[in-house]
Amino acid sequence: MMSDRGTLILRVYCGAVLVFLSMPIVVAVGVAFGEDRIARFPPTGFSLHWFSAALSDATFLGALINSLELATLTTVIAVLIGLPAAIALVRRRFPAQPTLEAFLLSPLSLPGVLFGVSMLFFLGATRFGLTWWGLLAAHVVIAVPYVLRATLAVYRGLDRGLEEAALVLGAGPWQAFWHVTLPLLRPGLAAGGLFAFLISFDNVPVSIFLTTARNNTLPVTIMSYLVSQDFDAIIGAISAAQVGIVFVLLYLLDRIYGVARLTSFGA
Amino acid sequence: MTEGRRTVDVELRGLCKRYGFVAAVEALDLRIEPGQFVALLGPSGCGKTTTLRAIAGLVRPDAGEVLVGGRVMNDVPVHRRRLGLVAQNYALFPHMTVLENVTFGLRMRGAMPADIERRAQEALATVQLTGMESRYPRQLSGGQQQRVALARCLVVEPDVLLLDEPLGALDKKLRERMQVELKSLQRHVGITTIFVTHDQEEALTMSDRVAVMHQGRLQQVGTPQEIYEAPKNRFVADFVGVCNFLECRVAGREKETVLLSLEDGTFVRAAVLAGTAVPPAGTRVVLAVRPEKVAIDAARAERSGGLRARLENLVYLGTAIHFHVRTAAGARIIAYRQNDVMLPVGLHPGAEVDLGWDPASARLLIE
Repeated sequence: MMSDRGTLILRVYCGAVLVFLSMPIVVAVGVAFGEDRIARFPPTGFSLHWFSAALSDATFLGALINSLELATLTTVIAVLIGLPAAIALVRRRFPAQPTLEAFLLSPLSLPGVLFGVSMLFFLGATRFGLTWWGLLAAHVVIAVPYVLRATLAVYRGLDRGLEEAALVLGAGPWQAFWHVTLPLLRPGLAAGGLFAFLISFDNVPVSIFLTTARNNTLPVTIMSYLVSQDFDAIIGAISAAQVGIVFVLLYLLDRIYGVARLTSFGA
Repeated sequence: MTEGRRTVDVELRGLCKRYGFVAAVEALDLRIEPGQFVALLGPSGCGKTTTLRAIAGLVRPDAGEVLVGGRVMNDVPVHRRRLGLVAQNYALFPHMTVLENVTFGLRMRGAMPADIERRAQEALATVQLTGMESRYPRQLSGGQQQRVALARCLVVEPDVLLLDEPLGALDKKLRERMQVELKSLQRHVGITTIFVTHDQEEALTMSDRVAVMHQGRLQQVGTPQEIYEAPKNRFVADFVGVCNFLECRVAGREKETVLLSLEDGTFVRAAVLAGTAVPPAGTRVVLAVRPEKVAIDAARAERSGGLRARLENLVYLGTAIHFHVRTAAGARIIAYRQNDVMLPVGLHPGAEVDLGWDPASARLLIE
């Protein structure tokens, strides 16, 4: 009897947490599909009008494309830095190893606002100025730790004997990397890469200092819209689109490297 | 698979490897004849795995040379050494099927696709895994994984096969079966094989020669029989099989035997191996004698030159009986007796017994 009641309480509790977590998203997405411009929940009627309004707004559309480009390139560069760094940290022995690892992961513990301001001063002092490339560099710095951490975790759990076996079997160092190390690290790279993309895609605290009217990112554009206007259905539509993009990415990742496949490696 | 194969020898010259201040391997000299099956035997941390990894090229020696087929390998990278290695956990590639695992070496060496297919099928047939091609390693039992690992390294026809405790992860029954299979496979292929193990029984039953290692140093190399019957020092005698040790002093020499005096004044004898110098009288030595060589009998009234002791414990094992006795000087001795004749009367705990042995089966160890 007690266990039945316990189960019931647990279910209610879990349900409440899920509602609490998803309600803001439900509200934002719901508003986007309503007929009123003024945010109203539950929405009245059903319309896709605000999506077309958002997409025909050059400011929002430009920001969305900019953010997607920025996040994609950030992810690629973060992987190109994080993967070799993980290999060096796991397979090589050198004195500064712990220091280097802590340094590469340090952006995780640095407040975003602080880093954004510092970057702003840095770009000014070095006369690079506020360019898209400066913004990209800043995003790469905060994205690398996510790629590195996920890759390190997978690599550290990988039996070194696998790479050694490949070498003994006649594979050169590059062949061993391409055919054994890389496929086995792929789950870590995929997870880290996804995080890198998302970190860049919805970053505000760093981007807000480094963007200009010409290269505004989507989150910064939403922020400034909210400051000058009010929360309305256009913002709802933009938010829904952003949630949709993230959801599609997560879904694809799960289909390609499902949780079951991730855990079956190395067993 | 045997046709056209060249069998090569392996030679280690003054091999040294240190980790910090600890010498993992120290001045190791070892020659392994072509086609031989040699066990590197020793307790964990004795340097046997480091030695194997140095041969494979996975460990860079601090000094000394590794020669395979007369060629110095020190500067040859791992992937060009043409060796086969089976690790204790097999190290099968988890993201590849059995077939992909087995063909890996051939693919990396750029073999022709038709050739790859044929040789992989041959190798799988040799280890009796035909039909398992599309399975993944995690879907196989321990014994099957071990055979995939063997097929994977034999398919590239390596010059030398290196086995690092390949049976360690198997349960006892399977282990014994795989010992026989592995040995007959090795004989069939005729490949020079170096086998690392800490299991002395496994080393004795499988090898042509055994190299016993301790604290980074080679203690003795010989046939299993030589290692067991004529251990060179106390470590070898103790590590391989069970052995009784008696502290004593050289008392004198009588033809082919040495007369030794125990602490309590009794005299025992041991054979002198041909070519061995007998240390001068008074030198402290250790006498080593295997339990199965010790004859035990109830004490007689008149002493016949044997060793008098007291029976402390008797362990009945069915096929054999183990007697635990203690000499007047306090030394413990174990004697085995096959359970094939009637047990003499008077052999019960607390009884006085006489111990004796053929001097030829007792060894003198100079500390």
